[in-house]
Amino acid sequence: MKSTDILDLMLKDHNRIMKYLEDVENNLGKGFGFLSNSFNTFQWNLEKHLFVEEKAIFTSYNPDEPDKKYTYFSDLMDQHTEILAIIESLRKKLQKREPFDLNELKKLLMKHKTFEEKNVYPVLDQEIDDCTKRVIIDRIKEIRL
Amino acid sequence: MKSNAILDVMVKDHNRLMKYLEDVKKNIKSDFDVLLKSFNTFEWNLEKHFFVEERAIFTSYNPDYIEDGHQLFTNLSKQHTSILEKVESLRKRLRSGKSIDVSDLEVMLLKHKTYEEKNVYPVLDVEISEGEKRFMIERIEEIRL
Repeated sequence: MKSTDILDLMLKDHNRIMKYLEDVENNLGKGFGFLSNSFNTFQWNLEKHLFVEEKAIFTSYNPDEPDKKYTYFSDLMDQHTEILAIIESLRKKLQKREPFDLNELKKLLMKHKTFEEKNVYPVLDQEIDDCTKRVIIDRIKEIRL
Repeated sequence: MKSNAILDVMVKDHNRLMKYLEDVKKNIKSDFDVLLKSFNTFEWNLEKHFFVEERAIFTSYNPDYIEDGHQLFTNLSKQHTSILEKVESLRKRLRSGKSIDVSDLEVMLLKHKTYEEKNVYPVLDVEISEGEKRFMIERIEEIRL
């Protein structure tokens, strides 16, 4: 049984991002400054997380069957695009000071997080060799998550 | 006179990236693994640099003439896309064991670097407040460049 280093790091960051989203939710009825600050923090941290996944993890993984990798990661990237599009639409509402709710985003993030924690990172941790894992972890650590 | 804080950080990173590209050039005739390693290092550092520019700098800048700022950053983001496409085409050649020539990429990067160092960062350093600058620098520092 190999280590679960990548899963551990990413799970920790998933939980951190969900807390940032909770902060946004808690600030929904408060002043614009509070809401805007918490939204910016959430968005910036989510963008760093998605960057790490796409550029430090997905691109470093080269399975024996490249087709498998393609479907797998291209689905995840499509989900990233969908999540970022929702955030962009919420940001536009925020800029116009229109009310917004986070239910759709929350549902999408939970689904994405669960899929990665069950089907992506545990598999990756077992399939890649220790050397590749070290390269991935070193890269993840270059981004302050 | 305001500080050149953003220009200084970004010029330093531009020079670092050009050195990574220099390493790739030097390794073109070397062993495949040595070349691949230097190419990976160059690409990963370039990706981090573009992420910082697009997500920590461009999005935090809101000029009075929104259209001007928007147009400028749209052009820069398009240049990033062209550069990354070039890097991707070189990676494909590398993977199929074909020889690579980085001259075009070098020209594109130099043009992009010169434009940013003359027309983008000096203007940004003057136009934004020290508070906004500190905020951007804090974000830049979260990514190990």
